[in-house]
Amino acid sequence: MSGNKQLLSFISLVLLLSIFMAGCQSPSASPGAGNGEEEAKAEDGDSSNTLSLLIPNYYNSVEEEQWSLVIEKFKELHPDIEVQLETGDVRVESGSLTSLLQSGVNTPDVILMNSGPSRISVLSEAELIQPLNDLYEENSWKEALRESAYQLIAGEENMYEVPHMMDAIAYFYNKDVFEENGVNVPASEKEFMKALQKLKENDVAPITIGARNGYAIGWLFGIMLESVAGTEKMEEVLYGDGKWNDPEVLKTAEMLKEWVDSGYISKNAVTLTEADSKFDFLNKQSAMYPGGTYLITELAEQDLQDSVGFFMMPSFIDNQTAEPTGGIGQSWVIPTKADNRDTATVWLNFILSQDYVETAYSSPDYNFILASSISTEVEPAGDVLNDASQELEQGSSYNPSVFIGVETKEAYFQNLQGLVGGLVTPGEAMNNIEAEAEKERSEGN
Amino acid sequence: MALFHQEGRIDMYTNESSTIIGNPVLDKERIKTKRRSKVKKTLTALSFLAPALLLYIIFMLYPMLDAVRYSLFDWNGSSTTMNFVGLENYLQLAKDDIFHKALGHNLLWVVLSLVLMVLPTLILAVLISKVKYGKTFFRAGFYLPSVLSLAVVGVLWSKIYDPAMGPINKLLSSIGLGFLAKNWLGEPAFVIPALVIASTWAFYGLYMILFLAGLQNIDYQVYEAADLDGAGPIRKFWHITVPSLRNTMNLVISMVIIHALKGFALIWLMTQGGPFYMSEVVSTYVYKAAFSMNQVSYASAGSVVLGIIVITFTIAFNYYRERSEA
Repeated sequence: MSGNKQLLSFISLVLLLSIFMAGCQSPSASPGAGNGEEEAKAEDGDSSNTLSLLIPNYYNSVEEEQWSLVIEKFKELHPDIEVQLETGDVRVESGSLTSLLQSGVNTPDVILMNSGPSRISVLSEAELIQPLNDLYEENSWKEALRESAYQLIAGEENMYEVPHMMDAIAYFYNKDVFEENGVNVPASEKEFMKALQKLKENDVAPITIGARNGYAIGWLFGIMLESVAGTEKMEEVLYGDGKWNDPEVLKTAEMLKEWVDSGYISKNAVTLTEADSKFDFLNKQSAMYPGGTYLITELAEQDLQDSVGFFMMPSFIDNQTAEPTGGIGQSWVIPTKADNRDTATVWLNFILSQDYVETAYSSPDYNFILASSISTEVEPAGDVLNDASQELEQGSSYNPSVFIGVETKEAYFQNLQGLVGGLVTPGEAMNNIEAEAEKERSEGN
Repeated sequence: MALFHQEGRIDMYTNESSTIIGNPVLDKERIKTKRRSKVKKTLTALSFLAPALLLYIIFMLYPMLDAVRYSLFDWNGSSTTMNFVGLENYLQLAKDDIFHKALGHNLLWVVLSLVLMVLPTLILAVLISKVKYGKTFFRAGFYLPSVLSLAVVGVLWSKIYDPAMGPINKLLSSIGLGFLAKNWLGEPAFVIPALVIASTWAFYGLYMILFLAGLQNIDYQVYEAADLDGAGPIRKFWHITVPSLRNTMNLVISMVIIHALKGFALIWLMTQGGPFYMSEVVSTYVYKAAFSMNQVSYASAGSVVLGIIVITFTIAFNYYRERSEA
C-alpha cells in the first residue's frame, strides 16, 4: 500500500517536473509542441512573407499617423508581405535593445535605432546585428544614400547599418518671444550674446535644456563646440590627435559654465528631463531649445509650426560659418537572429526609394531629413523641416555623443551635467572626459 | 502516512533484533534491511524536497554562481567567446573611483534608511494600534503607498522635488522661507537624502504592517502591570514595546539593510545616478556597465562585491543579535 503511494508520489513528481520544464521553454523553442510539426512548418512558410519591424516609441499621435501612412504605402507596393510594426525603446544606452537582441525571443527582422558609431559598434561587436556588405553591393545602396551619409558609415571592414535620417541639431526659437523682446535671429557672436543678455534682462529664460538626459545636454554642448571650437577641431578630437582638454574645447566648457552663472541656462536644468525642457519651450516659458528635427511633430500636434523657427548658433570663429551638428540620427539594422532577411531587404529598398520619400515629405509635419540620395530632390512640405534641410545642404558638423565610445560618452554626459549643476569645474570636467577617451584610445576603441 | 509505516517497520526490526543477536546471517540481513530502509527514507525525503530544491537551484543558486563565473572573464554579454582574466575585474573595481563613490552612497543610503525607516515606522504602528476608531482606515491609508508601482512613485516624487514647480519649494517660498528652497535632486548634499525619503515613503507601509502584527502578539497584561506600577507611555514604549518587538525589529532592520543596498528602481527613475555621479549606487553603476557599455563581466564583478557586502551585513547583524540575546 505504502509502495503504491510512493510510486504515485514519484509519478506526480515526474509529471510536475515535466510541466515545469515545458513551462520554462520559450515559445520559439518548441515548434513541435501543440499541433505538431505540420503547424510548425506552416508557421515557417508564413513567416517568410512576414516582416517584423521595431521602431522607436512614438513621440506623439502625429508620428503614429505618419508611420501608418508609410506602412500603408509599403503594403500597397508589396501586398504579399505581412507587416508587423512594433514600437519600443531602441536606445543602446538604456540597455533595452541589447537585452532584446541577446534574448533572441521575438527578434524583429529589422530595427530602426538611434545611430552613431558608439551605438552601432556596441551591437556589432557583440555580434547582435549582421554585416550588410553583400546587401549594399546587390542593391546599390551606396548610390541610394546621400554621399555624406555613406561616408559616415563606410571606412570600416563591415557596414552594419542603413542610414535612415540625418540629424540637424541647432536652436528652435519661439518667434513670438523673440519679437516681444525685440530680439532678432542672431547672425554673429555679438548678436547672439546680446540676445541672451536681453532675454535674461526681460525675465525670459533664454535657453531651456533637460540636462538630466545626457543626450540633451550633449546636443547643446555639441552646438557650442561647433560654434566655439569649429568643425576642424572636432574632427581632430574625434579622429585625430586632438584632446578633450585642448584650449578650444576647454573654452567651450568655460562658456557653458558662464552661461549657467549668468542665468542664460537655469542651474535647475541639471534635474530637468528633456521632456520637461520641451514642455517649457512649447509653452513659451523659454526662448530657445537646442534639439533636432524630432521636435517638428510636437509642433504640429500643438499647432505651433508657424510660431517656431530654427537657426544654427553663429560661429564664434572669425570668417567661419557654423553648421548644424548631427551626423546620422537613426539607422536601420538587421539583427543576427532575424528570421526574414529577404523581406528586411525589401523594406530597406523601400526606405531608400522615391515612394518612401514622397510619402514622408508630403506630410507638412514630417520631422526627419532623410538619408536617401533621392530625398535631396524632393522638397519637404513643412517649413521648419525645409529650413533644417537647407541648413544641412550647406554641410553638417558633429554631435560628439554619437561619435565617441560608450565609456567616454558616459563621462561626457555626467561631466556636462556636473558643469550645469556647478558640481565640477570646466577644467576638471574636460580632464575627466579626456581620461576616459584616452583609456578607450589605448584599448583600440 | 508512508513515513509512519516506514518508521513502524524500522521499529519492528529494531525490537526484533534484540532477540536474535549472535546469528551472523540474520545480522547481515538486518543491516541490509536497515540500509535499504535508510535509502528509502532519504529518497522519500528528497522527493518531497526536490521541487523546492530544484527551483532554488535553478533560479537562485545557478544564476548566483554564474555571476561569479562571468566576473572572472572578459565578456561583452553576447559574444560566443569569453577570455578568462581571473581577478582582473576585481582589481579594476578596486581602482575605480566611481565604484567607490557608489559604494559610499550605498552605505549612506543604509544609514539614512535605518534612521528614517525603523523607529518612525514603529512609532506610527504603535500610534495606529492605539487608535480606537477607524484603525482599519488608518492601516489601509498608511499602507497605500506600498501598493503603488515604483514608476509611479518615481514620477510623483520627481514632481514633488521639482525646483520650479514642486510643492516643497512653493510652500517654502509662500511662507517666506524661499532661501531654503533647493534643487533637491540636483545638489550633492540633498540628492541621496531626497531619494531615501521617497524610498521610505514607498516602503514604510510594509514595515508598519510587520510592526502592527508584532504588536498584536504582546501580552496586554504586561502593560496593565506597568500601569499599576505607575509607568508612563514613554517608559512603557522603551521597556515593554521595544523589547517585546525584538524579533520583528530584527526582521525589519535586516530587510531595510538589504533593500537599501540593493535599491535600484527609484534611483534609476529619478536621477539615473546623476547629476555627476552624485546619486550613483552600485546597482545603477552595474546596470550601466552591463547594458549601456556591454561590460557584462565587469558588472558581474561589481554585483558579486555588492552581494558579498549584503551577505556580510546580514550575517554580522544576525550574529550580533544572537549574541546580544544569549
